[in-house]
Amino acid sequence: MPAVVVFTGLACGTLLAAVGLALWDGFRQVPGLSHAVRAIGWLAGALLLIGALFAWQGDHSVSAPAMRLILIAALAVPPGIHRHRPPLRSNAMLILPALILAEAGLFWVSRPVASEAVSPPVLPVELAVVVCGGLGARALGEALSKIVAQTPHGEWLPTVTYVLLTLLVGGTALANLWQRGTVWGGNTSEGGLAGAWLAWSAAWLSPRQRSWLRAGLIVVAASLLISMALRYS
Amino acid sequence: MATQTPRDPWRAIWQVATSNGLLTALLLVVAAGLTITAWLPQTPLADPIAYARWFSEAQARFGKATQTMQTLGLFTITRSFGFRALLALLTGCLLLRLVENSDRLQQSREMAEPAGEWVALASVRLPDVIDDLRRQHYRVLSKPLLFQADRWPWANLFPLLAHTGALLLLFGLLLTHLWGWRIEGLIIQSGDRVTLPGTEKWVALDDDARRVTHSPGIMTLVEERGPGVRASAADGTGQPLPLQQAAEADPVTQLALALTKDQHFAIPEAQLGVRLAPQPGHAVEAHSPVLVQIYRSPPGQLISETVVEGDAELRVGEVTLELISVPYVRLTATLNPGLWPTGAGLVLLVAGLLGSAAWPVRRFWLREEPGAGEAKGAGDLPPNLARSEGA
Repeated sequence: MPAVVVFTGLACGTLLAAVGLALWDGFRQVPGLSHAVRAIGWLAGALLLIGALFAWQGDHSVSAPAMRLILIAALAVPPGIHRHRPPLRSNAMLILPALILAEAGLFWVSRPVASEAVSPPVLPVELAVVVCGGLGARALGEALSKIVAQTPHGEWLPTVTYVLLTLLVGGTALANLWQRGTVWGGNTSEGGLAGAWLAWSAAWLSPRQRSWLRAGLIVVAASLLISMALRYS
Repeated sequence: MATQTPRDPWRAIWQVATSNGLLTALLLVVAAGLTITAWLPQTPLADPIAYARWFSEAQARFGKATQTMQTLGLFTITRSFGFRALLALLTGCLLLRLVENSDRLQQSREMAEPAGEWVALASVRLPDVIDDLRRQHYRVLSKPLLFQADRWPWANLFPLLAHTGALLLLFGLLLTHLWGWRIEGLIIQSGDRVTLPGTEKWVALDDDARRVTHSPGIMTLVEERGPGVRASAADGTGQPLPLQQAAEADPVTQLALALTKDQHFAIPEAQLGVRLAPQPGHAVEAHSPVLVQIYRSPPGQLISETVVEGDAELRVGEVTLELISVPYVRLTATLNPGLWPTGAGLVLLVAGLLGSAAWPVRRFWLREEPGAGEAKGAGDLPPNLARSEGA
């Protein structure tokens, strides 16, 4: 069995345990449990990262989208959860995107490699898109938690994602302009990335007072960003 | 009875046109269009071969739905009237917002009307708060019983930059669309100077096949480099023999062939056929080895096979075949009259957005209720003041 499958499988189990413990903590308020959930989250992130590195280094049986999914899931694992009596579903929602992405990655690991049109992320731009996708997935968790349980979250994560995405889209467009004389380099993925950036701009513009609308727009923008990060080449 | 002031419809239209809601909606629709282009292959315009390849791929992928999708315009989204109308609306919206932002920047030195709900700031003495804010480099403006504090008074500049940048970018894209052109897949061989079809512009490749030169105003990007040959043949007396690439082609004494694929030509008078191909197993580069196969015609029997690098002279009986290396480049040539506005627009847009993210407009108002001595605040209150509400 390839190492990536072992590590991703372990990470999926760990994340599932983290979701269960987060729900239990919300229900029972067990002292110190939030620290355990946080530690488990870190462990899951580390397992996913190690799995992705194994796949990247030489496991050619792993398809590129699977590797990207695992990398994005590793970045999507939240570093901490709320400790001040959040509603039951809030903390579970924070972990949910990472769990779904890791499960999808585990499922995809078994798919044949030959038919894939997407390559593993090698260029700095491709890696940056994957990092944006990971941050977007984490912001997606926060937005879902806001929608489902009205839990307030800080603004730094959507802002950091937007700043990175702006630098990435702006830098790519300027490089194309300098090299090719046009904003688009003839690559369809660039159009999709610009679309994700515009959707994120729309979310960023939306009024902070209407937190439900803002969270909904972040869910849309983050979903677009993740889907683009999976197929950007 | 209270009299109701009639609502000015023009003001209402202005407020809608410059609202964040309208811009958000427009951005979302444009984003949806661009995202679809990433998932659905868009129809190539000028190149009939590329169109044929696209059409067969689309039919293989979408089957019978291809026709319906084509009718719906899903394969020509960015060229559709609807998408262009959206971009025109976006431009109009950005222009109005630019005017609004300029006005806001001009008026940022004056006290503005308080916006938002007033909330009580319990356990806070207003003079202490004002002193504190001034120590933290807030700009504090005052009128009797009312104070306005700006965290970063110059933060209004960034939205202005972003709007100017976005408009310049759209203007640049319009110039490119109206007067620009792009020629892809242009193949030239070393020492050649080619006039671009439909223009007076030219592109040339130097003798070493290293440097591409071109007429001013256009840009070129080398997509691929590969080997090529200039072939000629002579008989035993040194007389040049005619060469033919196809049965209907005119015979010539010299043939320049870019080895983008296998190339064939015949030497009819010597009854020979020649096949040239990049040597398999080697990376395709300007000076990579070339496989030369010579056939007797008829019956098509292979009589010589050799691999050459650089210039070569091959002898088959009385016939001398001379092959001179003339590598080729495949390039894209672009004329973009909107290059500078687009570039400047991108820089301003990115700078404006990053500035807005780092130093957002943060303004709030404070007042003291006469008599009661209670402090109240409205607008974008800092967390320490907002928290003291419930203290």
